[in-house]
Amino acid sequence: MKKLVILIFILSAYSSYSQVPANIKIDGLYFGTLESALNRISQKHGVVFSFDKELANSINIEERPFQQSLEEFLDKICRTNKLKYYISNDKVIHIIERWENQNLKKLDGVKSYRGKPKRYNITLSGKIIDNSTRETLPFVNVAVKGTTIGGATNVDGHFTLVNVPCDTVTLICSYIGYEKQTLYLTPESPINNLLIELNVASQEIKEVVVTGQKQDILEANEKTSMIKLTPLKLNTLPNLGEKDILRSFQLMPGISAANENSSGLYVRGGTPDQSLVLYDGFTVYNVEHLFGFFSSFNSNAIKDVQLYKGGFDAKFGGRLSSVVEITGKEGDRKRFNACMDIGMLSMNAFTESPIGEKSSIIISFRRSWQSPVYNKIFNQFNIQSDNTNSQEPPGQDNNNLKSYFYDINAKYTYRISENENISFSFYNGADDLDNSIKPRGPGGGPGGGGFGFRSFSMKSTDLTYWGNTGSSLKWSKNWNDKFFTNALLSFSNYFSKRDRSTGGSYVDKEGNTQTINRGVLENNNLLDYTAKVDFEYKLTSKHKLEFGAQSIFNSINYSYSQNDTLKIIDRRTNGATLSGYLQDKMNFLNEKLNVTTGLRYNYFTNTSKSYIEPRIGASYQLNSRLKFKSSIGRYYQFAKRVVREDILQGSRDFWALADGKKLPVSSSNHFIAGFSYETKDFLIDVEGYYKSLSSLSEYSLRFETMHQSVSYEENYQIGSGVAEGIDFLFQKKYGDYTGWIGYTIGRVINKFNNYGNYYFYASNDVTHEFKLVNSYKWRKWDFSATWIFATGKPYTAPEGGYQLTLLDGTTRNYINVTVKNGMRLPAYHRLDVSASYNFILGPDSPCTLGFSIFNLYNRSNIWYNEYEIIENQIIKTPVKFLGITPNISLNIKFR
Amino acid sequence: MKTLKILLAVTILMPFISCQKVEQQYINSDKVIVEGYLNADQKARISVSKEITYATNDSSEMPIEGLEITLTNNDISEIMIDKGSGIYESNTLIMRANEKYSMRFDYKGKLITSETTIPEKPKSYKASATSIAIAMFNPGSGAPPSFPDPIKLTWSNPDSRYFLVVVENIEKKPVAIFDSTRFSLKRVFRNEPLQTNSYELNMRSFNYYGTHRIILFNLNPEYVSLYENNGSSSLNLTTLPTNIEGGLGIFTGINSDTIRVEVYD
Repeated sequence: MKKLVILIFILSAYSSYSQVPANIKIDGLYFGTLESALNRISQKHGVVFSFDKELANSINIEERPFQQSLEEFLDKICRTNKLKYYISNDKVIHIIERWENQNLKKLDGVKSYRGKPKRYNITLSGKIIDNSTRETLPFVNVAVKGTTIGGATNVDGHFTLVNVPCDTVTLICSYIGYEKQTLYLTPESPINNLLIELNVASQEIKEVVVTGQKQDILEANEKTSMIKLTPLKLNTLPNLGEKDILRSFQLMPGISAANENSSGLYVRGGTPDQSLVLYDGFTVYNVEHLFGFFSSFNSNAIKDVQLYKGGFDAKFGGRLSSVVEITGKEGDRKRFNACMDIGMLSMNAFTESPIGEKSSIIISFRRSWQSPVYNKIFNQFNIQSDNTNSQEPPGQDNNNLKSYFYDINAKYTYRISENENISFSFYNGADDLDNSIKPRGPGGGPGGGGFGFRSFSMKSTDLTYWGNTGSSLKWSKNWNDKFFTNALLSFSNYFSKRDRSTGGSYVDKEGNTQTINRGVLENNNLLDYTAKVDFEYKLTSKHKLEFGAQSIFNSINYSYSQNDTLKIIDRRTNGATLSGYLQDKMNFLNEKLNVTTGLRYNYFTNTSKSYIEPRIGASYQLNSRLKFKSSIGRYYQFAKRVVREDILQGSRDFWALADGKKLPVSSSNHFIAGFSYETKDFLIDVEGYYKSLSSLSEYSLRFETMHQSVSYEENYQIGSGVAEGIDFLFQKKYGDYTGWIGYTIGRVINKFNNYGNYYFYASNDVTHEFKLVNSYKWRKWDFSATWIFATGKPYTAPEGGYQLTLLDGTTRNYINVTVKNGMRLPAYHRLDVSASYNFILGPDSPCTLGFSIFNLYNRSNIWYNEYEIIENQIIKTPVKFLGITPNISLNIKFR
Repeated sequence: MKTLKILLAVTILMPFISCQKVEQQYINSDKVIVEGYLNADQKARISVSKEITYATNDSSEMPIEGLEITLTNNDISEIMIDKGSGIYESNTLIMRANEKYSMRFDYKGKLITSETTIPEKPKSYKASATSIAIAMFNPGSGAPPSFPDPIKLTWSNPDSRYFLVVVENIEKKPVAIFDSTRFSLKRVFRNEPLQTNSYELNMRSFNYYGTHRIILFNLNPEYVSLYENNGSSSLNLTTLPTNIEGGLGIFTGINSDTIRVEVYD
C-alpha cells in the first residue's frame, strides 16, 4: 500500500480534508461504467474509493489517460458528471454528487438494534431534506421514540436534540405531505451532521402500492392554535380553478369559510388586516387577487405554511389576530425541473434548477386568462350598473372590458456551507381591472366628417390596479448545535390605484391639443422597510432561549383627487416601530410540562410610546395521547387596513398608521385553553378562546363636511369588542380515507359609540360553522368532497327610507337604519367535490388531471341585500354568491 | 377516555355560560322626514312627510298635514302656514343672507327641531362665454362629435366653501344634441358639490340646444352631507347624516346666482 501524503489540513467546523496522492499516474483505456473504472484503479493502485454503487453504475465514461495524475483524472470525471470528491481521514476517496455535503452523514438504519449502547446522554444534530429535490425541510418534527425528547427543524432544515439518553434510540421524523420516517440508531451511527431524507407522500403512481402511512393535507396538533400545511397535497381538494393555500386554511375550524368572496383570513373573529402574513420574511399587505376571490400566493412556489390562530410567539408582533408564515421553495438542488398547471382560471408555470454546486433557483409565474370561470367571478362583482348616470355618452359600448391578474415568485439560495446560507426572495403580483368605455365607432379616423377637427379621442376610464412587490435578503447561520442566527433585510410595497374618470383629448382648429378630464383618482402606496435579527440559543435539552430585534419603517401615501387637478386628500404618514423580544422555552416534570414565556417590547414613533406585550403559553402531556394546552398574551397593532366594500364603485382600501389620537393603536388580549387527544389514526382537538379587542377602528366614508382641508382621520370610529368561541376538530389522519370534521361555535361583538351605546354582532360574526372534509384515494384516483355550513352573517337592515329632491331637481333615495347588524342572512352552505386522476405522460412526466365542481347542489347563498325605493315601497333584492361552477385542470411535470 | 368525556362535556357546555346582551333589530315607524331649502330673499318653504317603513305594504303618499311649525329668526317667531300636502310656508319672514333661522314642531309627542344660516350670494360669478356651438351628433354616422372650447365659470371662494353648479335647459320644446331615440336625455345633470372656485362647461354638460340657466349655489355643510356615500346595500348601510333633531332629512339655507348660456348648432 502506497503511502498517502497528507500535505495540508483544511480545517472546517467539522472535518479535515486530505489531498490525492500525487504519485499515482493513470494510463490506458477506461471505457464503461464509472464503477468499473474506479474498481480498476483501486485494484491497480491500492486506493480505496467510496461511492454510491447505483450512481456509479448509471454513469458511463470513455477516457484515454496517458500518465495523467489521479487528481487530474478525478477532476475531469467529476466535472463532466456533476460529481465531486473528497478524502476522509482514513484516506478513503469519497465520490459524491456535487450538491451533496461531505460533512453530512446519511442515516439509514432500517432495523432496530438490539445490543447495548456505547454512548450515553448524547446530542444529535443534523439536517432534514426532501429526498427528491434535496431541498431542506423547515419545521419537520423529530422525536425520540418512547421519550418526550423532540423538536423541529428550523427554517433551514437544521435540528438539534440534546440529552438523548443513548445511541440506540429510534428517531421518528414526520412532516406533513411526506412519508413518516423511522430511523434506528446503532452504536456505529453518526450522531452529528446527520442527513435524513424524507419522501413525498405518494401521489404519483408507483408499481407497488405503498402500504405505509399517508399524511394528511393539513396538520393541526403541534403547538397551541397552530395549523401547518404544505401545498404538496392541495390539488386533491376541490378548487375553483386555482389551488389556494389561504382557501385551504378556511376549511379548518376557527378560520371562517363563509366569506366566499374573500380569500382573506377571518381568524377567530378577527379581520384579514389583523393577520400578519409573512412570505420569506417580508410582510405582504394585500393577499388578494380578483376582488379577493383568490389569494396572491402561487402554491407552486411554496414549501411550507404555518398559521397561528392566536397566542403566537413573541417573535411575531404588530397584529391582533393571527400570523401566517410562508416559506418559499429554494429550488431543486439536484436537477432541473419544470411544471405547468392549466386550469379554468389561470396558467401557472414554474422551473427550478441547481446553479453550480452551492446554489439553486426557482422561478414561478402565474397569469389568469379570461375563461368562463374568470368571467363568472368578475361579473359577480360588476353586476351593478350605475343608475344615476345619465351622462352616458351616446355611441359607446362597454365592450372592451379586460382584466387579469398575475404573480411572479423567484428565489435564489446560496449555501456558503451546510450551516450557513444566504437567500434572496422576490415577489411581484398585481391585478389589473379595466372596465373602461371607449368609443365604438371608428373614432380616431382622419377627416372627422366635416367637423373641422383633425383627430380626437374620448373615453370613460375605469381602471383598478393593485398589487404587491416584496423582497427579502436573508442570512442564516448555525454556529454550532446550540446557537442559530437569522438576519433579514426586507422590502415590501403595496400599491393600489383607481381611476374613474371621463376624459379625452382632441386637436382643435388651431392645431392645439386640448384635453378634458373629469372624475376621481385614488392612489394608495405603502412602503415597508424591515430589518430584523433572530437568535436561538439552546441552553440544555430543557431550556431554549430565543431573542431578537426588529425595526420596521412604514411610509404610507394616500391621495384622492377630483377632476385631474384638485387633490382632496393627500395624506402622507411615516412611522417606525422598533421592537425587541425575549422568549424562554422550558420543560419541567420530566418534560411533560412545556412552558413558553415571552416578552415583546415595541416603541412606536408616531405616538412616542412604548408598548409591552407579555405572552405565556403552556402545554402538559398527561399521557401519550392526552395533552392540555393554553396560552395568554397581549397584542398590539400599529398599521391598519381600511376596507370599504362598495359594490357600485369597487372596493376601496388603504392602509393607515395609528397616530394615537384619531386613530389609536389597537390592542387585544388572548386567552386560549384546550386539549387534544391523539391516537395513531385519529385526532380530537378542542380549543376555547376569548379575545378582548380595544381601540378598534372602523371607517365610514363620508363626504367631508368641514370647510377646510379634509382629514381622513375624522371618519374613523373607535370601538371595542369581544371575540369568543370554541373550535372542535375531529380528524382521521391515516389510511386511504382521510378527512376531518371541524366545528366552531363563537361570536364576535362590537361596540362603537357612534352607532349607539349597545353591543352589536360584528359583520364577520358566525355563530355556528361546520366543515366536513373527506378525501379518498383509490388506485390512480383521488376523490374529495367538502361541505361547509355556516350561520348567516349579520347585516344592517333598513328601518325605513325616504327620497329627497336635490337642488338640481333629481331625487335621491335614503335608506334609514336603526340597529347595526341587527338582522341575519339565511345560513350559508355549499358542497364541493373533486376527482383527480394521476397518470404518466413520459418516464419523467407525471401528470394530474383534475375535475372539480364548486357548489354542487347549486345553493343560492346570499351575499348581501340591495335596497331600492320604488313607488314609496322599499324593495329588497338579494345578491347571490356563485352557483354551480365546474372546473377542469391539468398539471404536467417535466424533468 | 373518561377524562376525555368529561372534557368534551365541559367544553360543549361552556358557550352557554358567558353572555353579553346584543341589540337586535326593531322597527320604529313614526319617523318624520323634513325637506326644507331656504332660498335667500324668498319665503321659507318646507315639506314634511312620514318615513316609508320597511317590510310594510303601505305605499300611500305620506305627507303630514296639520302640524304647528314655529319658524324663528332672532326674536321673531311665527307659525308657518299649512299649504296642504305636507307643504308649509313662512307667513311673513323673508330669508336674509347671514341670518340664522330655526324651526320646531311636535309630532306624536316628539319634538323635532333644526336650524340653519342663509349663506351669502356667490361673489364675482362670471362665465368666459355666454354661448357655445355644438354640432349635432349622430352616433350611427361614425363621425366624431365636435369639441368646442369649454366655457369656464369662475367665482370667488376664499374660504373654501362648497358650491354647486346646476345646468338647466329652460326651453319649452328643446331640441336634442344627440340622437335621443336610444337614450333618455335629462334636462338637468346631477353634479356633486365643489370646493373650488371654477368649473368648466363643455359639450358633455349639455344634452339640448337653446337657453340654459347656469345656477351657482352657495351651500352649507348640511347640504353637502346629503351627497355622503350612503349605500343602498346591506353591506354598507350606516346611520344617515341629517341636521334634523328628532327626525330625518334636510333644513338648509341656500343662496344662488345665475348666468344664462345659449347652446346653438
